[in-house]
Amino acid sequence: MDAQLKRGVIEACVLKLLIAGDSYGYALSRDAAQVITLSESTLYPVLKRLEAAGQVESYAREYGGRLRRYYHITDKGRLAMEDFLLEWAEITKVYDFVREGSR
Amino acid sequence: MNHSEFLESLSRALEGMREQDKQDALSYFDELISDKALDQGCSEEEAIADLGPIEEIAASIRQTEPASQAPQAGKASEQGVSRGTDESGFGIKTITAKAASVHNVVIQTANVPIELEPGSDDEIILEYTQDAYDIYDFSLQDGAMRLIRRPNEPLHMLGFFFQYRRSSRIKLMVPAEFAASCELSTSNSAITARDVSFWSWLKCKTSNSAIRLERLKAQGDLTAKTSNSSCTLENLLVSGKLQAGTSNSHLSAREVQAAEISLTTSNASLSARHLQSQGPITLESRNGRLEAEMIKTPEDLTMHTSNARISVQAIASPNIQLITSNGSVEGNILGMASEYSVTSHASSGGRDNLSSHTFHGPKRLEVKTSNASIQLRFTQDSKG
Repeated sequence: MDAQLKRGVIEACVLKLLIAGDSYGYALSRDAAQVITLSESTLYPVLKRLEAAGQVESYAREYGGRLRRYYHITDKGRLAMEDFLLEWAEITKVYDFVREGSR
Repeated sequence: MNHSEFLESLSRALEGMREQDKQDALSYFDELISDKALDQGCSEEEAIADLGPIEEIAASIRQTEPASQAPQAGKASEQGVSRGTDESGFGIKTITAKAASVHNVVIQTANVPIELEPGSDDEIILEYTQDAYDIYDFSLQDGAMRLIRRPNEPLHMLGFFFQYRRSSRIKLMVPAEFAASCELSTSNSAITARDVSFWSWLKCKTSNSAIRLERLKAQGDLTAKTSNSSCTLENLLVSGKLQAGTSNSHLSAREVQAAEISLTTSNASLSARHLQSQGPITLESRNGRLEAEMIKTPEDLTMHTSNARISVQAIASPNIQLITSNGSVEGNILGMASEYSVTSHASSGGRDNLSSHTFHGPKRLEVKTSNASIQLRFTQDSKG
């Protein structure tokens, strides 16, 4: 898959996972891997970017004697996911068009 | 590698990053390893092995470095940076910098080819095209020159459909003798580099497109990685290790010297001519032919493939391994038969002309195939 496209898709996956509840790095990469092929290290830049864009926030909680960083989706993140779905409708249209033409 | 060793190596690989960004990344991976081992019920070592090469992890972390601000006017003139065009607009940009003030160049883009060639003796000239799909952040700080393409917002994802329409490229011209290291990375587009001597390392990375490196010297390591497209190496002199790889496409290396050589492809042939190394040489494919001519090393020479032929001409090493399946192994080896101890096996009825080898010389030759024959000669042995 094209790298840019894939990054966008992974972002959407992460946002979707966070809508179900706050989660942490490892759990997010494990859960995202259910729907899209990705390595654990791919998720780090994605989370960083979402955080920089204000779409997720993070906070540290103690877990088993150490700190674990949890991520939380913001309203901005929810909006971004809606944008993604709208955008995707457009991509699907192009996809259908391209597929039709190549038969 | 254990947990703290991993973090130490990662920390080293992230050198030069802002301290805070580095610490964030380290604690993320620190946590990830503990959580993963816990969840999968495996050891931390296993969890770490699973993460992949440190360089790749470091590269993906470096993507997150904040879009660096353009250097301030005062600082820029100090370092001799000048810009050809207005920075904010679209169009072809040219940046010129004093080569002496730069010891590291990093270019990161996507879907845009990169060309590197010699230019002026004392200046670095960087040309790139900025448009709606490719917006770059340029910085020159502490001798590190960086041109980083901003990641696309999800909104711009349709951009990749138009990649074939555009003909932009990045051109980097540096002094023929360049006292710096250089890292070029793109995707779906070619990388070419020629006629430059780096006083340090060079890394080239792309995907789905060709890499061509010609007449280069590197005092450090040289790495070239692509996929689904050819990789061509010609006239390289590398003081460090040379590592080059592709997949599903041909890899060819000619006139190459390095302290260690490792060439890898798959589902396609690999041809190597006139390779010399002071360290081990590894030529590897799967389902692809291996051809080697004039390969010399005082250490191991390893050639592995499958379902394809291995042919060798004038190869020399004290420890040669030629291993394939469903393909013949043929050609000749420099030296006398008496210098070698041979282990050979052509299973399932393949002919094996080495099966009658009776010498027990100090050098080792191991040859294996199946369903095909072995036909190897020693060049300095009249009996063949």
